[in-house]
Amino acid sequence: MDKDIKITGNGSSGGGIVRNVKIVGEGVIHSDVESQYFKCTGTAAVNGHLRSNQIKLTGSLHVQGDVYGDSIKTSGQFEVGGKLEVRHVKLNGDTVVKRSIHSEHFKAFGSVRLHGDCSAEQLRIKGAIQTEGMLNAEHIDIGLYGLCKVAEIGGHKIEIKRTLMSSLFHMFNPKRQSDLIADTIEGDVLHLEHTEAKVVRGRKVYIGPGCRIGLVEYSESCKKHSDAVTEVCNQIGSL
Amino acid sequence: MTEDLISKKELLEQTGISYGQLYRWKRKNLIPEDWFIRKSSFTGQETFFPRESILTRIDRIKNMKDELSLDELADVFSPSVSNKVLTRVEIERKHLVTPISIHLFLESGSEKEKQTFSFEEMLCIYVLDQALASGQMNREEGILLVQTFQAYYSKFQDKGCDIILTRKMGIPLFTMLTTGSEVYFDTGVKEVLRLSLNTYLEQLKVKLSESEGF
Repeated sequence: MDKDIKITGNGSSGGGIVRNVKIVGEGVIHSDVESQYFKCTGTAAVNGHLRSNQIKLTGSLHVQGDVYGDSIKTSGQFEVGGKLEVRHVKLNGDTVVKRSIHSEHFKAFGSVRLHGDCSAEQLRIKGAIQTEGMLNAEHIDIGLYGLCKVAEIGGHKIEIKRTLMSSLFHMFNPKRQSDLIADTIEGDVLHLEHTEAKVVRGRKVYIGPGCRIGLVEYSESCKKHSDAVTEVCNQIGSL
Repeated sequence: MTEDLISKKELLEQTGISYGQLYRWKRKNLIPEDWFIRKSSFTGQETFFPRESILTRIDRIKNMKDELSLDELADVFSPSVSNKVLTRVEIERKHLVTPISIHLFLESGSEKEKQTFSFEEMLCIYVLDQALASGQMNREEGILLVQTFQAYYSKFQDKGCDIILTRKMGIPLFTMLTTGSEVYFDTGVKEVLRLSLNTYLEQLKVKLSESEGF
Protein backbone atom coordinates (compact mmCIF):
# COMPACT_ATOMS: atom_id res chain seq x y z
CA MET A 1 0.00 0.00 0.00
CA ASP A 2 2.91 2.35 0.65
CA LYS A 3 4.41 1.81 -2.75
CA ASP A 4 4.39 4.49 -5.40
CA ILE A 5 4.63 4.20 -9.12
CA LYS A 6 6.77 6.92 -10.64
CA ILE A 7 7.56 7.04 -14.27
CA THR A 8 9.66 9.88 -15.60
CA GLY A 9 10.64 9.77 -19.20
CA ASN A 10 9.71 6.50 -20.66
CA GLY A 11 8.68 3.43 -18.75
CA SER A 12 6.15 0.85 -17.74
CA SER A 13 4.77 -0.77 -14.64
CA GLY A 14 2.78 -3.83 -13.70
CA GLY A 15 0.13 -1.89 -11.78
CA GLY A 16 -1.46 -3.18 -8.58
CA ILE A 17 -2.48 -1.41 -5.39
CA VAL A 18 -0.27 1.57 -4.66
CA ARG A 19 -0.40 4.95 -2.96
CA ASN A 20 0.47 7.37 -5.71
CA VAL A 21 0.97 7.07 -9.42
CA LYS A 22 2.90 9.79 -11.17
CA ILE A 23 3.68 9.65 -14.82
CA VAL A 24 5.69 12.39 -16.47
CA GLY A 25 6.48 11.60 -20.05
CA GLU A 26 5.32 8.32 -21.44
CA GLY A 27 4.11 5.41 -19.35
CA VAL A 28 2.26 2.17 -19.66
CA ILE A 29 0.61 0.26 -16.84
CA HIS A 30 0.06 -3.31 -17.81
CA SER A 31 -2.86 -4.28 -15.58
CA ASP A 32 -5.44 -2.88 -13.15
CA VAL A 33 -4.21 -0.12 -10.91
CA GLU A 34 -5.65 1.16 -7.66
CA SER A 35 -4.28 4.26 -6.02
CA GLN A 36 -5.01 7.28 -3.87
CA TYR A 37 -3.73 9.72 -6.37
CA PHE A 38 -3.10 9.32 -10.07
CA LYS A 39 -1.36 12.00 -12.02
CA CYS A 40 -0.32 11.92 -15.59
CA THR A 41 1.51 14.62 -17.48
CA GLY A 42 2.24 13.39 -20.93
CA THR A 43 1.00 10.18 -22.41
CA ALA A 44 -0.16 7.17 -20.48
CA ALA A 45 -2.04 3.97 -21.02
CA VAL A 46 -3.63 1.67 -18.46
CA ASN A 47 -4.34 -1.79 -19.79
CA GLY A 48 -6.97 -2.57 -17.21
CA HIS A 49 -9.27 -0.78 -14.78
CA LEU A 50 -8.22 2.41 -13.07
CA ARG A 51 -9.48 3.05 -9.58
CA SER A 52 -8.20 6.13 -7.86
CA ASN A 53 -9.46 8.70 -5.41
CA GLN A 54 -8.08 11.56 -7.39
CA ILE A 55 -7.12 11.57 -11.01
CA LYS A 56 -5.38 14.39 -12.80
CA LEU A 57 -4.46 14.38 -16.42
CA THR A 58 -2.62 16.79 -18.63
CA GLY A 59 -1.94 15.25 -21.98
CA SER A 60 -3.43 12.01 -23.07
CA LEU A 61 -4.59 8.95 -21.21
CA HIS A 62 -6.08 5.75 -22.48
CA VAL A 63 -7.72 3.37 -20.03
CA GLN A 64 -8.74 0.02 -21.41
CA GLY A 65 -11.24 -0.85 -18.67
CA ASP A 66 -13.43 1.17 -16.30
CA VAL A 67 -12.49 4.27 -14.35
CA TYR A 68 -13.73 4.65 -10.77
CA GLY A 69 -12.95 7.43 -8.36
CA ASP A 70 -13.95 10.43 -6.38
CA SER A 71 -12.66 13.21 -8.57
CA ILE A 72 -11.12 13.54 -11.97
CA LYS A 73 -9.74 16.51 -13.84
CA THR A 74 -8.48 16.19 -17.32
CA SER A 75 -7.16 18.43 -19.99
CA GLY A 76 -6.31 16.85 -23.25
CA GLN A 77 -7.34 13.58 -24.70
CA PHE A 78 -9.01 11.03 -22.47
CA GLU A 79 -10.23 7.67 -23.62
CA VAL A 80 -12.04 5.06 -21.54
CA GLY A 81 -12.72 1.60 -22.89
CA GLY A 82 -15.33 0.79 -20.24
CA LYS A 83 -17.44 3.04 -18.08
CA LEU A 84 -16.61 6.18 -16.15
CA GLU A 85 -17.91 6.26 -12.58
CA VAL A 86 -16.48 9.25 -10.78
CA ARG A 87 -18.27 11.61 -8.41
CA HIS A 88 -16.73 14.89 -9.48
CA VAL A 89 -15.80 15.13 -13.10
CA LYS A 90 -14.17 18.00 -14.95
CA LEU A 91 -13.20 17.31 -18.50
CA ASN A 92 -11.36 19.65 -20.79
CA GLY A 93 -10.65 18.64 -24.32
CA ASP A 94 -11.62 15.52 -26.12
CA THR A 95 -13.16 12.63 -24.22
CA VAL A 96 -14.33 9.29 -25.50
CA VAL A 97 -16.09 6.76 -23.27
CA LYS A 98 -17.06 3.41 -24.74
CA ARG A 99 -19.82 2.68 -22.24
CA SER A 100 -21.71 4.84 -19.75
CA ILE A 101 -20.91 7.76 -17.47
CA HIS A 102 -22.19 7.89 -13.93
CA SER A 103 -21.37 10.92 -11.87
CA GLU A 104 -22.68 13.51 -9.44
CA HIS A 105 -21.09 16.73 -10.60
CA PHE A 106 -20.20 16.55 -14.22
CA LYS A 107 -18.61 19.39 -16.12
CA ALA A 108 -17.17 19.18 -19.56
CA PHE A 109 -15.60 21.70 -21.86
CA GLY A 110 -14.97 20.41 -25.32
CA SER A 111 -16.20 17.28 -26.88
CA VAL A 112 -17.58 14.20 -25.16
CA ARG A 113 -18.51 11.10 -27.04
CA LEU A 114 -19.96 8.03 -25.41
CA HIS A 115 -22.01 5.00 -26.32
CA GLY A 116 -24.14 4.53 -23.23
CA ASP A 117 -26.10 6.76 -20.89
CA CYS A 118 -24.73 9.73 -19.05
CA SER A 119 -26.26 10.38 -15.65
CA ALA A 120 -25.39 12.91 -12.99
CA GLU A 121 -27.00 15.26 -10.51
CA GLN A 122 -25.50 18.36 -12.07
CA LEU A 123 -24.53 18.09 -15.69
CA ARG A 124 -22.84 20.99 -17.44
CA ILE A 125 -21.43 20.80 -20.88
CA LYS A 126 -19.93 23.55 -22.91
CA GLY A 127 -19.19 22.14 -26.29
CA ALA A 128 -20.54 19.06 -27.89
CA ILE A 129 -21.80 15.74 -26.60
CA GLN A 130 -22.74 12.77 -28.70
CA THR A 131 -24.30 9.56 -27.50
CA GLU A 132 -26.74 6.90 -28.60
CA GLY A 133 -28.00 6.73 -25.05
CA MET A 134 -29.66 9.27 -22.82
CA LEU A 135 -28.65 12.20 -20.65
CA ASN A 136 -30.28 11.99 -17.26
CA ALA A 137 -29.64 14.61 -14.60
CA GLU A 138 -31.42 16.75 -12.08
CA HIS A 139 -30.04 19.85 -13.70
CA ILE A 140 -28.82 19.83 -17.27
CA ASP A 141 -27.08 22.84 -18.70
CA ILE A 142 -25.71 22.62 -22.20
CA GLY A 143 -23.84 25.46 -23.86
CA LEU A 144 -23.87 24.55 -27.50
CA TYR A 145 -20.68 24.80 -29.44
CA GLY A 146 -20.67 22.30 -32.23
CA LEU A 147 -23.11 19.54 -32.97
CA CYS A 148 -24.73 17.62 -30.11
CA LYS A 149 -26.59 14.39 -30.75
CA VAL A 150 -28.38 12.43 -28.07
CA ALA A 151 -31.27 9.99 -28.11
CA GLU A 152 -33.05 11.19 -24.99
CA ILE A 153 -32.72 13.91 -22.41
CA GLY A 154 -34.52 13.69 -19.09
CA GLY A 155 -34.38 15.53 -15.81
CA HIS A 156 -35.82 18.24 -13.66
CA LYS A 157 -34.43 21.41 -15.18
CA ILE A 158 -32.99 21.40 -18.66
CA GLU A 159 -31.34 24.38 -20.32
CA ILE A 160 -29.92 24.31 -23.79
CA LYS A 161 -28.39 27.49 -25.16
CA ARG A 162 -25.78 28.56 -27.63
CA THR A 163 -22.55 29.82 -26.21
CA LEU A 164 -21.45 33.34 -27.03
CA MET A 165 -18.72 32.14 -29.35
CA SER A 166 -21.10 29.90 -31.21
CA SER A 167 -23.63 32.75 -31.55
CA LEU A 168 -20.95 34.99 -33.02
CA PHE A 169 -19.83 32.31 -35.39
CA HIS A 170 -23.37 31.75 -36.58
CA MET A 171 -23.91 35.47 -37.00
CA PHE A 172 -21.25 35.58 -39.69
CA ASN A 173 -22.15 32.26 -41.12
CA PRO A 174 -25.93 32.22 -41.05
CA LYS A 175 -26.51 28.76 -42.44
CA ARG A 176 -29.57 27.53 -40.58
CA GLN A 177 -29.01 24.34 -38.74
CA SER A 178 -29.82 22.91 -35.36
CA ASP A 179 -27.07 22.48 -32.86
CA LEU A 180 -28.67 19.79 -30.79
CA ILE A 181 -30.57 16.84 -32.18
CA ALA A 182 -32.58 14.58 -29.89
CA ASP A 183 -35.51 12.21 -30.09
CA THR A 184 -37.24 13.16 -26.87
CA ILE A 185 -36.62 15.79 -24.24
CA GLU A 186 -38.59 15.48 -21.03
CA GLY A 187 -38.33 17.52 -17.87
CA ASP A 188 -40.14 19.82 -15.51
CA VAL A 189 -38.65 23.14 -16.57
CA LEU A 190 -37.28 23.36 -20.06
CA HIS A 191 -35.43 26.12 -21.87
CA LEU A 192 -34.44 25.11 -25.36
CA GLU A 193 -32.64 26.96 -28.11
CA HIS A 194 -31.40 25.72 -31.47
CA THR A 195 -32.73 22.28 -30.79
CA GLU A 196 -34.28 19.75 -33.09
CA ALA A 197 -36.43 17.16 -31.36
CA LYS A 198 -39.30 14.86 -32.21
CA VAL A 199 -41.02 15.17 -28.85
CA VAL A 200 -40.67 17.68 -26.02
CA ARG A 201 -42.65 17.22 -22.83
CA GLY A 202 -42.59 19.33 -19.71
CA ARG A 203 -44.36 21.43 -17.17
CA LYS A 204 -42.96 24.84 -18.10
CA VAL A 205 -41.57 24.92 -21.58
CA TYR A 206 -39.73 27.61 -23.46
CA ILE A 207 -39.05 26.94 -27.10
CA GLY A 208 -36.39 29.41 -28.13
CA PRO A 209 -34.92 30.61 -31.40
CA GLY A 210 -33.80 28.09 -33.97
CA CYS A 211 -35.85 25.22 -32.56
CA ARG A 212 -37.63 22.68 -34.68
CA ILE A 213 -39.87 20.47 -32.60
CA GLY A 214 -42.35 17.88 -33.80
CA LEU A 215 -44.64 17.59 -30.81
CA VAL A 216 -44.70 19.75 -27.69
CA GLU A 217 -46.75 18.69 -24.69
CA TYR A 218 -46.87 20.89 -21.64
CA SER A 219 -48.97 21.11 -18.53
CA GLU A 220 -48.42 24.60 -17.15
CA SER A 221 -47.03 27.02 -19.66
CA CYS A 222 -45.42 27.09 -23.06
CA LYS A 223 -43.71 30.09 -24.60
CA LYS A 224 -42.47 30.12 -28.11
CA HIS A 225 -39.96 32.37 -29.81
CA SER A 226 -41.03 33.76 -33.17
CA ASP A 227 -38.10 32.04 -34.80
CA ALA A 228 -39.11 28.56 -33.62
CA VAL A 229 -41.03 25.93 -35.50
CA THR A 230 -43.32 23.50 -33.70
CA GLU A 231 -45.64 21.22 -35.59
CA VAL A 232 -48.06 20.39 -32.80
CA CYS A 233 -48.29 22.05 -29.41
CA ASN A 234 -50.76 20.62 -26.88
CA GLN A 235 -51.60 21.42 -23.32
CA ILE A 236 -52.33 18.28 -21.39
CA GLY A 237 -53.40 17.44 -17.84
CA SER A 238 -51.19 17.32 -14.81
CA LEU A 239 -47.64 16.16 -15.27
CA MET B 1 -47.66 -13.98 -21.01
CA THR B 2 -48.27 -10.57 -22.51
CA GLU B 3 -47.82 -7.95 -19.86
CA ASP B 4 -50.15 -5.07 -19.35
CA LEU B 5 -48.19 -1.94 -20.16
CA ILE B 6 -48.61 1.68 -19.15
CA SER B 7 -47.18 4.60 -21.09
CA LYS B 8 -44.95 7.10 -19.37
CA LYS B 9 -47.44 9.89 -19.86
CA GLU B 10 -50.28 7.90 -18.40
CA LEU B 11 -48.08 6.86 -15.50
CA LEU B 12 -47.22 10.44 -14.59
CA GLU B 13 -50.84 11.49 -14.81
CA GLN B 14 -52.03 8.63 -12.69
CA THR B 15 -49.41 8.87 -9.97
CA GLY B 16 -48.95 12.62 -9.96
CA ILE B 17 -45.16 12.48 -10.06
CA SER B 18 -43.07 14.73 -12.26
CA TYR B 19 -40.52 13.93 -14.93
CA GLY B 20 -37.86 15.19 -12.57
CA GLN B 21 -38.84 12.64 -9.94
CA LEU B 22 -39.13 9.80 -12.41
CA TYR B 23 -35.69 10.46 -13.85
CA ARG B 24 -34.24 10.97 -10.37
CA TRP B 25 -35.52 7.60 -9.29
CA LYS B 26 -34.25 6.01 -12.43
CA ARG B 27 -30.83 7.52 -11.79
CA LYS B 28 -30.81 6.14 -8.28
CA ASN B 29 -31.80 2.71 -9.60
CA LEU B 30 -35.09 2.74 -7.73
CA ILE B 31 -36.71 1.77 -11.01
CA PRO B 32 -34.83 -0.96 -12.83
CA GLU B 33 -33.51 -0.27 -16.28
CA ASP B 34 -35.35 -3.19 -17.86
CA TRP B 35 -38.74 -1.77 -16.89
CA PHE B 36 -38.20 1.01 -19.41
CA ILE B 37 -39.65 -0.61 -22.49
CA ARG B 38 -39.13 1.43 -25.61
CA LYS B 39 -41.60 1.02 -28.41
CA SER B 40 -41.96 2.98 -31.56
CA SER B 41 -45.16 4.92 -32.01
CA PHE B 42 -46.35 7.54 -34.44
CA THR B 43 -44.41 10.27 -32.65
CA GLY B 44 -41.22 8.30 -32.72
CA GLN B 45 -40.35 6.45 -29.55
CA GLU B 46 -42.54 6.03 -26.52
CA THR B 47 -41.55 4.51 -23.23
CA PHE B 48 -43.78 1.99 -21.52
CA PHE B 49 -43.63 0.23 -18.18
CA PRO B 50 -45.09 -3.00 -16.87
CA ARG B 51 -48.23 -1.58 -15.27
CA GLU B 52 -48.54 -3.66 -12.13
CA SER B 53 -44.89 -3.54 -11.10
CA ILE B 54 -44.33 0.15 -11.74
CA LEU B 55 -47.49 1.28 -9.98
CA THR B 56 -46.75 -0.71 -6.83
CA ARG B 57 -43.12 0.38 -6.95
CA ILE B 58 -43.98 4.07 -7.20
CA ASP B 59 -46.55 3.70 -4.48
CA ARG B 60 -43.95 2.21 -2.19
CA ILE B 61 -41.32 4.80 -3.03
CA LYS B 62 -43.79 7.55 -2.25
CA ASN B 63 -44.68 5.93 1.06
CA MET B 64 -41.15 5.26 2.18
CA LYS B 65 -39.25 8.26 0.89
CA ASP B 66 -40.02 10.32 3.99
CA GLU B 67 -38.33 7.85 6.28
CA LEU B 68 -35.48 6.65 4.11
CA SER B 69 -33.07 8.55 1.91
CA LEU B 70 -33.01 7.76 -1.79
CA ASP B 71 -29.78 5.83 -1.40
CA GLU B 72 -31.24 3.70 1.37
CA LEU B 73 -34.28 3.10 -0.78
CA ALA B 74 -32.07 2.07 -3.65
CA ASP B 75 -30.55 -0.51 -1.37
CA VAL B 76 -33.98 -1.88 -0.53
CA PHE B 77 -34.93 -2.31 -4.17
CA SER B 78 -31.62 -3.50 -5.50
CA PRO B 79 -31.63 -7.15 -6.51
CA SER B 80 -28.19 -7.72 -5.08
CA VAL B 81 -27.95 -9.52 -1.80
CA SER B 82 -26.53 -7.57 1.08
CA ASN B 83 -23.67 -9.08 3.03
CA LYS B 84 -25.37 -8.91 6.38
CA VAL B 85 -25.02 -11.83 8.75
CA LEU B 86 -27.75 -12.70 11.20
CA THR B 87 -27.72 -14.98 14.20
CA ARG B 88 -30.46 -17.43 14.93
CA VAL B 89 -31.38 -15.58 18.11
CA GLU B 90 -31.71 -12.31 16.22
CA ILE B 91 -33.97 -13.85 13.60
CA GLU B 92 -36.23 -15.31 16.23
CA ARG B 93 -36.33 -12.10 18.21
CA LYS B 94 -37.25 -10.05 15.17
CA HIS B 95 -39.97 -12.52 14.18
CA LEU B 96 -38.77 -12.52 10.60
CA VAL B 97 -39.72 -16.15 10.11
CA THR B 98 -41.30 -18.87 12.17
CA PRO B 99 -38.98 -21.20 14.13
CA ILE B 100 -40.50 -24.10 12.19
CA SER B 101 -39.00 -22.77 8.97
CA ILE B 102 -35.58 -22.31 10.52
CA HIS B 103 -35.76 -25.85 11.79
CA LEU B 104 -36.75 -27.21 8.41
CA PHE B 105 -34.00 -25.20 6.74
CA LEU B 106 -31.41 -26.68 9.09
CA GLU B 107 -32.80 -30.15 8.54
CA SER B 108 -32.37 -29.92 4.80
CA GLY B 109 -28.79 -28.70 5.01
CA SER B 110 -25.68 -30.38 6.25
CA GLU B 111 -25.07 -28.23 9.31
CA LYS B 112 -27.81 -29.06 11.77
CA GLU B 113 -26.63 -26.74 14.53
CA LYS B 114 -25.90 -23.61 12.54
CA GLN B 115 -26.28 -20.43 14.54
CA THR B 116 -25.45 -17.69 12.05
CA PHE B 117 -26.99 -17.14 8.67
CA SER B 118 -25.83 -15.18 5.68
CA PHE B 119 -28.33 -12.88 4.03
CA GLU B 120 -28.78 -15.34 1.19
CA GLU B 121 -29.61 -18.13 3.61
CA MET B 122 -31.92 -15.78 5.40
CA LEU B 123 -33.70 -15.08 2.13
CA CYS B 124 -34.01 -18.80 1.55
CA ILE B 125 -35.61 -19.33 4.96
CA TYR B 126 -37.90 -16.39 4.34
CA VAL B 127 -39.06 -17.76 1.01
CA LEU B 128 -39.52 -21.17 2.59
CA ASP B 129 -41.52 -19.59 5.38
CA GLN B 130 -43.79 -17.75 2.99
CA ALA B 131 -44.30 -20.79 0.81
CA LEU B 132 -45.18 -22.96 3.81
CA ALA B 133 -47.50 -20.30 5.13
CA SER B 134 -49.35 -20.24 1.82
CA GLY B 135 -50.46 -23.75 2.65
CA GLN B 136 -49.76 -25.00 -0.83
CA MET B 137 -46.47 -26.65 -0.17
CA ASN B 138 -45.72 -29.46 2.24
CA ARG B 139 -42.60 -30.04 4.33
CA GLU B 140 -40.96 -32.51 1.97
CA GLU B 141 -41.31 -30.08 -0.85
CA GLY B 142 -39.90 -27.42 1.44
CA ILE B 143 -36.69 -29.38 1.75
CA LEU B 144 -36.53 -29.65 -2.01
CA LEU B 145 -37.10 -25.91 -2.28
CA VAL B 146 -34.17 -25.17 0.04
CA GLN B 147 -31.88 -27.48 -1.91
CA THR B 148 -32.88 -25.97 -5.24
CA PHE B 149 -32.47 -22.45 -3.92
CA GLN B 150 -29.05 -23.07 -2.45
CA ALA B 151 -27.73 -24.82 -5.49
CA TYR B 152 -28.83 -22.32 -8.09
CA TYR B 153 -29.65 -18.93 -6.58
CA SER B 154 -26.10 -17.64 -7.01
CA LYS B 155 -26.24 -18.42 -10.72
CA PHE B 156 -28.70 -15.61 -11.26
CA GLN B 157 -26.33 -13.11 -9.65
CA ASP B 158 -27.95 -9.68 -9.72
CA LYS B 159 -30.81 -10.63 -11.98
CA GLY B 160 -34.21 -11.29 -10.53
CA CYS B 161 -35.52 -14.82 -10.56
CA ASP B 162 -38.68 -16.78 -9.85
CA ILE B 163 -39.16 -20.21 -8.40
CA ILE B 164 -42.04 -22.27 -9.67
CA LEU B 165 -43.43 -25.33 -7.95
CA THR B 166 -45.24 -27.70 -10.25
CA ARG B 167 -46.71 -31.11 -9.64
CA LYS B 168 -47.49 -33.86 -12.05
CA MET B 169 -49.23 -36.96 -10.77
CA GLY B 170 -48.30 -35.93 -7.25
CA ILE B 171 -44.61 -35.55 -7.98
CA PRO B 172 -43.26 -32.11 -7.04
CA LEU B 173 -40.83 -30.29 -9.28
CA PHE B 174 -39.07 -27.00 -8.71
CA THR B 175 -37.98 -24.74 -11.55
CA MET B 176 -35.90 -21.58 -11.25
CA LEU B 177 -35.93 -19.02 -14.04
CA THR B 178 -35.18 -15.37 -14.62
CA THR B 179 -38.02 -12.99 -13.93
CA GLY B 180 -40.22 -12.29 -16.89
CA SER B 181 -39.18 -15.26 -18.98
CA GLU B 182 -41.91 -17.46 -20.31
CA VAL B 183 -42.26 -21.11 -19.50
CA TYR B 184 -44.83 -23.66 -20.62
CA PHE B 185 -45.60 -27.09 -19.29
CA ASP B 186 -47.53 -29.99 -20.73
CA THR B 187 -51.18 -30.28 -19.82
CA GLY B 188 -50.70 -32.81 -17.04
CA VAL B 189 -48.60 -30.35 -15.06
CA LYS B 190 -50.21 -28.20 -12.42
CA GLU B 191 -48.48 -24.98 -11.45
CA VAL B 192 -48.91 -24.80 -7.70
CA LEU B 193 -46.79 -21.81 -6.67
CA ARG B 194 -44.84 -19.10 -8.37
CA LEU B 195 -42.53 -17.25 -6.03
CA SER B 196 -40.92 -14.03 -7.19
CA LEU B 197 -37.70 -13.94 -5.25
CA ASN B 198 -37.21 -10.24 -5.91
CA THR B 199 -40.43 -9.39 -4.14
CA TYR B 200 -39.38 -11.43 -1.13
CA LEU B 201 -35.93 -9.89 -1.21
CA GLU B 202 -37.46 -6.44 -1.02
CA GLN B 203 -39.85 -7.45 1.73
CA LEU B 204 -37.04 -8.93 3.74
CA LYS B 205 -34.83 -5.88 3.33
CA VAL B 206 -37.67 -3.62 4.40
CA LYS B 207 -38.40 -5.78 7.42
CA LEU B 208 -34.76 -5.82 8.40
CA SER B 209 -34.34 -2.07 8.08
CA GLU B 210 -37.55 -1.52 10.03
CA SER B 211 -36.55 -3.82 12.85
CA GLU B 212 -33.17 -2.12 13.08
CA GLY B 213 -34.88 1.16 13.74
CA PHE B 214 -35.97 0.02 17.17
